[in-house]
Amino acid sequence: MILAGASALFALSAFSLPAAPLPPEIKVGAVETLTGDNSAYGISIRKGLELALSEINGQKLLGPAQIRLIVMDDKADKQEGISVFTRLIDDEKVSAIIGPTLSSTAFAADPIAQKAGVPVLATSNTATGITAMGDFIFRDSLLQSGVIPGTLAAVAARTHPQKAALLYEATNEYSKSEAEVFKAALQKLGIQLVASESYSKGDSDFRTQLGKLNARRPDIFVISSLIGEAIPVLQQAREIGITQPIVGGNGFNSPNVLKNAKEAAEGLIVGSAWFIDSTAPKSQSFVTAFRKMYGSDPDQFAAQAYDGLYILATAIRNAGSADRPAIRDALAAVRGYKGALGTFSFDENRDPVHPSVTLVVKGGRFVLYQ
Amino acid sequence: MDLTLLADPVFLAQNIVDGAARGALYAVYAMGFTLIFGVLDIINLAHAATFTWCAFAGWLVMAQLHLPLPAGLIVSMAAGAGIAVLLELLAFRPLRRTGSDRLSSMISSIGASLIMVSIAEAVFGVETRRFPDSALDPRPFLLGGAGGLRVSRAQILIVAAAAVLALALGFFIRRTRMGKAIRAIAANLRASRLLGIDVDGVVVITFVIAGALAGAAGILVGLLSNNIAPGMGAQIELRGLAVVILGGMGNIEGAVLGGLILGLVETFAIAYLPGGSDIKDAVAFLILFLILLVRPNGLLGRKSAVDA
Amino acid sequence: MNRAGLRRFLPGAITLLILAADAFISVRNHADLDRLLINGILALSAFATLHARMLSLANAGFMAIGAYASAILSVKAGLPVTLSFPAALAICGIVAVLIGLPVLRLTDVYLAICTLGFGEVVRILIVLLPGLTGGPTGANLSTGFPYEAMRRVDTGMIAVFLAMLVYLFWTMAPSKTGRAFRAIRERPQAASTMGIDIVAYRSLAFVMSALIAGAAGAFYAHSVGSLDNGDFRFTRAVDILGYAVLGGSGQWFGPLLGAGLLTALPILLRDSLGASIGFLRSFAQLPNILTGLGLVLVIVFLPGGLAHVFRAQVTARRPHALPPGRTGEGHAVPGPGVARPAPGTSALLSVKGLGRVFGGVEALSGVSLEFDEGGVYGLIGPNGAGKTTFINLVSGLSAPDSGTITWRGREIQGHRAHEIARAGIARTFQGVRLFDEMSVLENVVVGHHSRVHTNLASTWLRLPRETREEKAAMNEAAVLLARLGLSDLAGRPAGALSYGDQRRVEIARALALDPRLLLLDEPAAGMNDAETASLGSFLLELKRRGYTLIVVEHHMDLIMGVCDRIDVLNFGRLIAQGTPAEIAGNEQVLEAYLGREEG
Repeated sequence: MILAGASALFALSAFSLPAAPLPPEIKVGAVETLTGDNSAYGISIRKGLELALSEINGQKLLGPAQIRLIVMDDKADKQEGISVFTRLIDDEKVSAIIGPTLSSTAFAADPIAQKAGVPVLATSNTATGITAMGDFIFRDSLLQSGVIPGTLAAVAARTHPQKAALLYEATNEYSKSEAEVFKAALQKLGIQLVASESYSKGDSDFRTQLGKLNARRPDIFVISSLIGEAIPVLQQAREIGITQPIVGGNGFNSPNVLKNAKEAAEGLIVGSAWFIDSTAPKSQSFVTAFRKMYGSDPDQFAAQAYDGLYILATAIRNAGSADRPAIRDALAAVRGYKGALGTFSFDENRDPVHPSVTLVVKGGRFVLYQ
Repeated sequence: MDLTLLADPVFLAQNIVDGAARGALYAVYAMGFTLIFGVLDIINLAHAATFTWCAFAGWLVMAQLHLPLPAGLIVSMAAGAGIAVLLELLAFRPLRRTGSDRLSSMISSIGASLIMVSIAEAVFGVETRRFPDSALDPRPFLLGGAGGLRVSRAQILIVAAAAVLALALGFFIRRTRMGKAIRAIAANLRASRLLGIDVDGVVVITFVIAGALAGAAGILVGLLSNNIAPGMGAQIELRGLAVVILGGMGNIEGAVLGGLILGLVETFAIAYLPGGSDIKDAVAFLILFLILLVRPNGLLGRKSAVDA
Repeated sequence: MNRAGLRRFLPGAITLLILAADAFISVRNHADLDRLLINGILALSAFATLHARMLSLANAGFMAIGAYASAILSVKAGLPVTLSFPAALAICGIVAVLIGLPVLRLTDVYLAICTLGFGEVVRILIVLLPGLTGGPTGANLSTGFPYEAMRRVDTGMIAVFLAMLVYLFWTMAPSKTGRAFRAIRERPQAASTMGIDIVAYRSLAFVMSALIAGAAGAFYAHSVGSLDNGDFRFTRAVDILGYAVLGGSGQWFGPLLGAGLLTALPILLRDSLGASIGFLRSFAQLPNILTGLGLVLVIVFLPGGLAHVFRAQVTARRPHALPPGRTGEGHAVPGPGVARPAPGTSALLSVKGLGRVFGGVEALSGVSLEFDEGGVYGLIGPNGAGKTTFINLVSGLSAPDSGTITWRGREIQGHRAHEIARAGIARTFQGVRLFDEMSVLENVVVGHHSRVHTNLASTWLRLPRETREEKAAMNEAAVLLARLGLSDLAGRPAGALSYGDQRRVEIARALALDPRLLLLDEPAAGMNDAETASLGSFLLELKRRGYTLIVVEHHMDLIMGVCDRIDVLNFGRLIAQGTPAEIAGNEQVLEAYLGREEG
């Protein structure tokens, strides 16, 4: 009954006053990777968080209460992640934690929060098993298995491919699991996977793998790469004469890819949780505000982080307290939150549910695939 | 394994082309690396960081200042020379003064590398950059129509550059006075000093050459792969080690031969072995181990790798 | 505890105190404490190889093996951690033996590169065996390694293990094994001529390092609760190297100190200056830059690391006082104890057609000589004549390209130096090669290496045999020093002595081997007339005791005065041979020397 009540409150718009007085300062920890190879994501996430923070505090979403965001670097190191989580939980006594950036850090650090009863909201973890760690662990980053089947189905409906070829990064857990999702989705659609090749982190010459894949004459290419490799993969694919449609995983969903790959990116199809021209209710205002604050375009990580802090703030507001278990319960009750990602809810496993889109690159921009 | 691939002559030729280009790249990188070892007995693990900075220097010149490729190449090589000299003055010369051993200079180079890569990360950020298309036309030459052999301008440039640099370096070492001085120092540093050779000066020249080679490698990698980022040195550093050990430490021809061999072997592994792309990294290490165990002085070896 | 005992205890105690203060100030939770302890264990794994003069970067790889092995065995195979932990160590040990044996012959930088490659190969294997390890996804909940099942150790266990390691290293340091390592670390070639089997010790060091790193890995797995191959990158090996470099790899507490500082300082920085300072927030690479800078500065300006500061303490703590009851007088030099063979028996040492080529130059060519037991033989010739080469060949530091060397009826050419030393041939070096950081007494005790019958077991278990053998060796060494008039210098670091004194210490060290043949390479170099004369009588005394001597010298007075026969080399060939009188008047000899002077 409490849940029903909380949901009802949630369904109301964002700006009504909180039900009970909150402490003047509510501490929220943010653990992100700010140095090292994966820091691009962490930095983007932090930007999204800080934009949301300025708005939430500025617009007094929590009434007189202000959120104090404590951002710490986990350096993509498990022990550092554990250390930082412990600091935030025991010393800073935060009410909730956002992050960490990488799933691998999450597997080490989240259990600490679960044990201590501190809610964790991940905005970029997409690995299997994250939310299975416990009922205090949430995420708003749409799983690959939530996006890719839809994308492939849309492509199949239009182009009717019979054969597909797959390229992915073998040394990266994100890429590897995305490749598995691709495989499963292809199988389900009855498209034959005729060839599969991989590369490792740091590689920069993919011509041999691409040539080998193309020799099998696939109708479409499906590629799972992180952003660093996505750009040369696209370029080299076009260079060696691949003209078939390329369906990219989430690593391709970045304005940087368009900027650097230029013509090579034309025709690229990507399934995405969010894209910059999204017409989701708060998306355009988010993009405008982001451009104003940072002078650059936001990416999906920023959008998920932005919504993440808002969702957390809304949960705090609805819980009416900075009490950790209360926030947890309020988070679990989130249904139909309208944010930059669209209409958002947590499912019974605390995983995100919101519509995804299939995009195609036309004229140097991501547009909806139709 | 698809047997039709094995029989396809175009595929084979393509792999030879791709492998040779890859290998030539490794060769240019390894030449600078092996030069420093051959002359000074230093394993310079900051060579990769130098290479990275040179690639960024080239990027600044070509993508930001919109200057053409030759300018980028010159700036990159000059940057490499400059950085290498700085390394010598700050990280290696003080050790030479105190008579430290090889391990100390290797450790010093590791520290220097860490500093350089971190600064690159701080200055440039981790996102990938690429050279503009205006630098070099990316469209490949197609021999034999659409399904035929394709060779990109970058690949041709790399192989040509490697050949030119190798010949030039060889000529320099063998036929010029400075080259002779370098060889003297390589043979016996103390004696050279006693004979009146300005050892410090010659060492600086050596680093200038090695740095310039790193710069060339940086530009060439950027042209071939269009993937310039602060972490780009890690992969080539390990390949470079394998190459110089394969060819024999301190041996320039060995570096070229070793580079070509590694490039071809890697490419053929990906192309013909089932699951080859998964194990291709291990190829470099496998070669490293085998050579060290079976023929420690490398194929064309010179310096001693094994205890007396 | 008397003063000597206190001094022994001090450096280690100071280190532990600093670490404790470190921990108290900056490390305030179990996770950080675990990290500090595990890094300490890793530091000791680096020390194990570094103090045998090997730069092995394989610890990251062994850490990975230990981590995954223990995780798989305890979580997937259901073994209790009391079994999975030793099993994981055993696996590390086996791998160390398999890859170590062929790799250990490589010299320093090649070993470093090879071991670097090893780490990367382990990481590749982790990715290629997803069924076993969870692949690139890692060992976590989604691949069958649930958190609660992985978490098996608490901070106390790790602390106990580290304490045990500290005990092992602490007791090993002054023992025969510790001495051997320290000797290898300073001068491997000289160590081998003292009967120390370098390859065996290096293998031991490598395996120890692998076991310790594997243990650290197992603790890591069970304290962090999940794994992936990114935990064991090259950067980890660099960090471990950093501990050893910063702290200094001369003593065990050096790397430990380095680990303590390098682990705790970033935490301190983070927590006190933290995310609230704008500059640091945007300059996230600062710690890495500082680490790199630290490495370079320390290796250039303080190559011994911080522990070097404790150096004086450490040397002092080695037993320097002469064992009670031995004032070092009157005791005769122990002789080889063998009666002089009757004339007519075959020569003690004989070389035939000995040749050695270095880079195109014939250092020795077609040299044939015979040396009878009990004789004193001089080997002279201009610089570069091949005299030292000859000694190197006979003592086993070098192998001839042609010819044979027969010792007591057995061919020994190409044998390893330590075997030849144990067979009874001792040598000194041109330009003294003492172990500078050890005390004079300890240098001589190193010579006793092959005659001290202790091993690590007796050291660690503190068996009575250990104390007995060590004491006996110390006594004999003290006696040798006394005989050479060096008793006063017994406790001083060998590197601090005058050249002349160092020469005599070297001779004492060679005598400690109880050899039958002594090869002395320019023993009188750097001595004045009085000292040379004293040396001369000493050599004659040795001859009286039954030692056989081959002396390379330039001091003609000495040679003429003590030698039974003089062999003259020039350009690698034997040009003359005879009694001192014969040689003195020999034209060719004169020409060889004078001819050289003209050039």
